[in-house]
Amino acid sequence: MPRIFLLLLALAFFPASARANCVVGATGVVGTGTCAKAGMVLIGATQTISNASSIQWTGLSGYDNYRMYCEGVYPATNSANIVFQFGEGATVWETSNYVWAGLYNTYTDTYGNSFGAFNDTSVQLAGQWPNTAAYGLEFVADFFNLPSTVETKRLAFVNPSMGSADTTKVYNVSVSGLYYGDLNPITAIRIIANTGNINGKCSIYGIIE
Amino acid sequence: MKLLAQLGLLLVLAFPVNAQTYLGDGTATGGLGGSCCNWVAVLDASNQSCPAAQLAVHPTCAVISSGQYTAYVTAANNQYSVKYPQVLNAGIAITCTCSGYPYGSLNGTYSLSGQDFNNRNLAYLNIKAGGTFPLSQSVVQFADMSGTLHTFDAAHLLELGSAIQDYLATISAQYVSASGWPANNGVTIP
Repeated sequence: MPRIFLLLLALAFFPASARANCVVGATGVVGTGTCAKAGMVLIGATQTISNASSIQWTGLSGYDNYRMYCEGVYPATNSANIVFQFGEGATVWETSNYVWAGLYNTYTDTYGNSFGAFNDTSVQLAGQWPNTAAYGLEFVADFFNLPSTVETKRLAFVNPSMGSADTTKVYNVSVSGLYYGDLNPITAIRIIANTGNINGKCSIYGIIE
Repeated sequence: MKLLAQLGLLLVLAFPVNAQTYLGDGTATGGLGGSCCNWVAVLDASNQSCPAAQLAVHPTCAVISSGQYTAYVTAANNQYSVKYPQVLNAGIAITCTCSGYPYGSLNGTYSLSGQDFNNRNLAYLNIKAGGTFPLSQSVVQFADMSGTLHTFDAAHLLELGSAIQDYLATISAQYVSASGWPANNGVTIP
């Protein structure tokens, strides 16, 4: 009986119009609407891709920054590279003028090993990766100030990766990338393999500021 | 009529429509590595033109052929700034004839950068300068890139170090610009 009373009290103090603007607890939604002070909003739906050409989002708008969570990402073709590309407008995929730099190390290393490229066709997440689900990449990636017409577009990702020859070893892998071809707003992001198809499950969130 | 429709269906099935349009900032050979362009992009739809937003920032934006696009990507992948880090991180594949060698196989792919490389290089340089292995040991163990340990005596560590020194020279910018990339990275040591 007291619980019903409290429920009625809550409904009285928070009218339906206010509750409609404050979505908490729906699938993938931390907070939206007038009640949200900060948090992340799931964009579209989580994508689960099996042997498809890309994991991609188009029509991104409304947020400056985005965060992506991915699990089990691996190429359909053995030893393919897994890479990021940006898209503009509706939708021009930018396939040149990227620079990226990464570091990786494992527990026996006292400092990192570097890798990267300039004037590349994409930003590389993983090179020559096995087409095996057991080595699927789990990572978080941040994309910064995508609507800007002033700043170059950048991303950073962290990938706790297994060594392909030793499943008891974990590598701390981080990569920063930048597209310098132009300063147009970015409206799309995709993950592809440099050859063949890709597998994996990813979600992307807009950051509420 | 029905036959024509079936024939049309067969043609569609036999010749899938290329649902992509390739864009570039040039149409001749003045671009990267003799390709058309220094900037390229892709639209996932056929028969498109260069969007206004792209023309605004790439004034020479034009539709290019798939062949021109592929030539650009090939040129991009062969740039020293893209390929050198890949080649360096791939390591050096060593095959040892190791006639009569008592400490097992030395075959493996060895790193060319990072901590393993530096530790191995320190021992190599020490032996090269007439020194000894740490703690006066007669052999020393180093791992290849797969984590497999190999046992080196002084003579074979010198052979490995010499092979690595030569290989690093053949992938240097100066050598590659004059002679191209080495055909492969397989090196045999005695």
